[in-house]
Amino acid sequence: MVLEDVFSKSKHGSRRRSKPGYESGDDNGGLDARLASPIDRLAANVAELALLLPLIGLVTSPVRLRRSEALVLGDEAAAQYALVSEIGLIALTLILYHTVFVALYGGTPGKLALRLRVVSLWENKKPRPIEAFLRALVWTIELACLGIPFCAVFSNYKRRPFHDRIADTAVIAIPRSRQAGLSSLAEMSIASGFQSAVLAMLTLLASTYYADMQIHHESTPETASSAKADSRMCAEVREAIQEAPNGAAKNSERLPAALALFAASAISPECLDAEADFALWRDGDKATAYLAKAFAIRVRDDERIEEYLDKVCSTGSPSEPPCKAARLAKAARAVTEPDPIDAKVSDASKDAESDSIVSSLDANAPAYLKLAAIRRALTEGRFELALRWIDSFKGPRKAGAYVVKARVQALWALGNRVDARVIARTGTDLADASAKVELATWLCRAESEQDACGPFAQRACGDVASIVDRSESWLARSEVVSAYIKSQSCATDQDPSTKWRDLKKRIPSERGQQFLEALALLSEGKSAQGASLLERIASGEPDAYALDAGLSLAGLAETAANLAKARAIWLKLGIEESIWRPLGHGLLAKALKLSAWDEALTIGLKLSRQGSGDRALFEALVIASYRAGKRSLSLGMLDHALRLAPERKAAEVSRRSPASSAEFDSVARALGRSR
Amino acid sequence: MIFPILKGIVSPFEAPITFLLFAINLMVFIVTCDDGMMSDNRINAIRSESGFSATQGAAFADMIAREPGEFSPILLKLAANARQGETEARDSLSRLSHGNARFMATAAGYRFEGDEVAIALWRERFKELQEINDKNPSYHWGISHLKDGWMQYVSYQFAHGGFGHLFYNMLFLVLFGAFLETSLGGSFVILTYLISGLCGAILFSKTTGVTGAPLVGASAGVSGLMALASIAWIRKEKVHFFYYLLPFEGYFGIVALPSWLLLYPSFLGDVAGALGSSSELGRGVAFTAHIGGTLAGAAVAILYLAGVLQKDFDDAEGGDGDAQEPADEASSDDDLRKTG
Repeated sequence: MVLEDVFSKSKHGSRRRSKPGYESGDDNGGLDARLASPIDRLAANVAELALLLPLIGLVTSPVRLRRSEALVLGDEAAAQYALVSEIGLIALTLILYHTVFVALYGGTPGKLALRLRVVSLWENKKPRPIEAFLRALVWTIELACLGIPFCAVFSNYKRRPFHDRIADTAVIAIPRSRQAGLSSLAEMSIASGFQSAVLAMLTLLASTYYADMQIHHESTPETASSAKADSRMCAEVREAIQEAPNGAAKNSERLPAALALFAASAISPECLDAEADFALWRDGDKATAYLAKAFAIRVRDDERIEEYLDKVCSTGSPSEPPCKAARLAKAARAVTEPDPIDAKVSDASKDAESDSIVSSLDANAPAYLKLAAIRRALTEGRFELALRWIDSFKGPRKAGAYVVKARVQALWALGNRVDARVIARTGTDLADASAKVELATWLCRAESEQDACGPFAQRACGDVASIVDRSESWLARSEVVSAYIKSQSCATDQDPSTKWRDLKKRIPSERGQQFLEALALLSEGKSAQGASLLERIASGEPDAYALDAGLSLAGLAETAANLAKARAIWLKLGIEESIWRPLGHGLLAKALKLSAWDEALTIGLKLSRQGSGDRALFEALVIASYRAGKRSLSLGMLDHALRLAPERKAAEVSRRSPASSAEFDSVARALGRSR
Repeated sequence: MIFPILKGIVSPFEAPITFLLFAINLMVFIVTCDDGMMSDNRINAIRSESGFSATQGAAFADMIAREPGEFSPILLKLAANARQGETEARDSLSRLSHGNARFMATAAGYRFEGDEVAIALWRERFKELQEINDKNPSYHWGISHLKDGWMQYVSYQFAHGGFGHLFYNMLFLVLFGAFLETSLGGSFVILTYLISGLCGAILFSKTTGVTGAPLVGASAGVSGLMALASIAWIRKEKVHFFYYLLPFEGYFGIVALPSWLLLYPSFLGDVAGALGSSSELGRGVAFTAHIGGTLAGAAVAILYLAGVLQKDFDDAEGGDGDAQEPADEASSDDDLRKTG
């Protein structure tokens, strides 16, 4: 087949007067016999693209520019409007194109090239303009329906899709060899079936999509909202500003509020980074902004942290809060020394500087600085001081959740467990469901460390179980599962392995399921298999499962060699994070119990380098180093332990080795010192 | 699909000027390919560093805010959004800054007011980026803020940004160049190619302005050749196209169609592209350069039709290049039928 050149002028005059195919005396038979083949019609539309596509591109170009500008500016509404306009222009172009060519020439250039013609059904000549317009309009609508209605060239007896039927037209072929005639029964059957199948499939897809959307909307879990920064900085910061007593949202208040929220772990580092950038590039408070940058990039880039902290004091005044906070932060970045005694000496000078900074803070100190003071006091075991700061704290509401938790921890460590329990259970200041759950799980763990099956532990862990019963979506969080397990541990109404395996079915995460399987194996006496699974869990992602697995391994260890394995896991988890301290102390207690002195010394020294060493820890180190034959180290530790103020206790050090009290006195006498 | 085949790929001996231009383009590409790839890889690595990218975006926003008269409304809006804290706007500005000549030319010494630690690090990287650009062949041969002398207005036509870019330009150069050379002579080809390239670059600089990203490619010259072929043959007979409508016998083959169809899609496409995109928003194709080349080629064609420019050789020698007037349509169909 060769395309006809539709653009060549007839030698006898204007093309418009010639109507090939319409001539009288055309004895090609009736219209039915001259119907064009569907393949030719398709080929004509393909040929059309060479003319249509550049034209459509030109017509829609201004709208496309507007759309790309809207997309770059993030104006989704304008972009969607432009897209709709673009689609509208394309439709308009197609309609005009078809209308003009069919009305003037009896066919579009593609059809003319393939020697096809659009004829009026009753008059056997080219359609009138109104018919051409209707035909073009419906053709465009059919195209928008993915072209499925075009299948009517097969399914309709006279090969007339809806656009032909509505305009009372048909498409014929001029050359006799290209005429296809009426549709056969087979064609009509297959095409009708295909159209029905496509319609059914589209209906099914649409309903499935709709159902998915409904399910997704209903089952969105009530999980903690992560502090996700929107593109215009953080919603949490904006809310905090609006809640402020003066009621007006001021840009100058954003950064201190963001720092306070970050100190309370209520916003992400990315959010704080965005706030800091806003202040830095908009002539805001540069000193506070550099401080914020130092904290924001903390997890990403250690090298630049010192540069930012230096900038804080060089940009602002040394007596202003940002510089004080920077000096506190620098002091907290303890350098690990191989000799713990030297480390303690250098820590002492850092401690003195930190103490002087904290003691210089008054009631007007910004919230973030008070939160830093609270955090430091808790870490160092100065719980009365922490409570004083907590009582005077005024800051964003979302930071209040951290303050409540800090109060509970301080009261607990001071032995005021009644008040701690009341505050933890009611959590009246906590509007955030996630913060409430976090506090409940903390209390459950703290109570369990004291007496796992005691009434308080059961009540605290039972609160967590109630939360889970209200919404199982909380079981996606490892710390909640850990607390839930504790709530079930002491129940004896069910076989343990069955209990753990039943619970396993409700846990969505694979690690949780593995942990429960390990518990089931241990309860069945399969210690080796259980321990192997626990090692795998503890070596994986650092979460509550890893912590519990590590503690379980520590508890299972019968020899120093087994304990060393558990220690290796603890080190891999990252001892710098305070959440792993319970594991460290658990390992230390077990090492002392097994009289594995070298192991106890290694673990204890690592714990002490975290800067929170209390007297109980150093007393344990005195014993371990002495028994390991390291007399000089033991003496240094003893002097340090005796210097430490008695109230510096760390909350997580709950129990000493049963023999340590008398043993410490005995070692101290041997070293020539007394308590 | 309809694709011009004209005379197809002829022997280099029949179209030596065309193949000389092809060889120069190919040689430049081969010689600069390695350096270009290494530079591009290192440039992409620097640009993708998040700290560098974020700071560059913030710096660009800072510059726009300080010199609002030097930038377009869209950039002003983007900068305002970025300075309100929109990270997406900042990232967009970072991407667009590389194509902005003013920023790329002045940023190294500009005094930005912002995160001084990040700016110091950014300056190191930016300096490295500029050193790489200095050695990048595209910046050496092409027209950009680094170099936009008269030499570059000629040399840019022989440099290409990648193999795909080279392939399509050379395909059309050989098709149209050989067609024109065998019909009108080699001087038409080289004259049109160079003048079109020059005019394309001038129109590009006048409308878009010199950009941070270099202008390279033979597209303007090739557009000129297409315009010349299209318009000069408008009164002559048809030219050959290959068509492919459907993968069935009878629906693909070769057809003779009027020459204006050579220009229709490409010119309309270039105008649509020029109107529908903006170089400030990272448009990768220099549509205005194509349009400039097309206009220059059209001017040469008009001069030829007016008799001002004559062919290299007379009609007796140039027979093959002109399709014959068909005696009737049927016989021309027989001559042209290749398949179906």
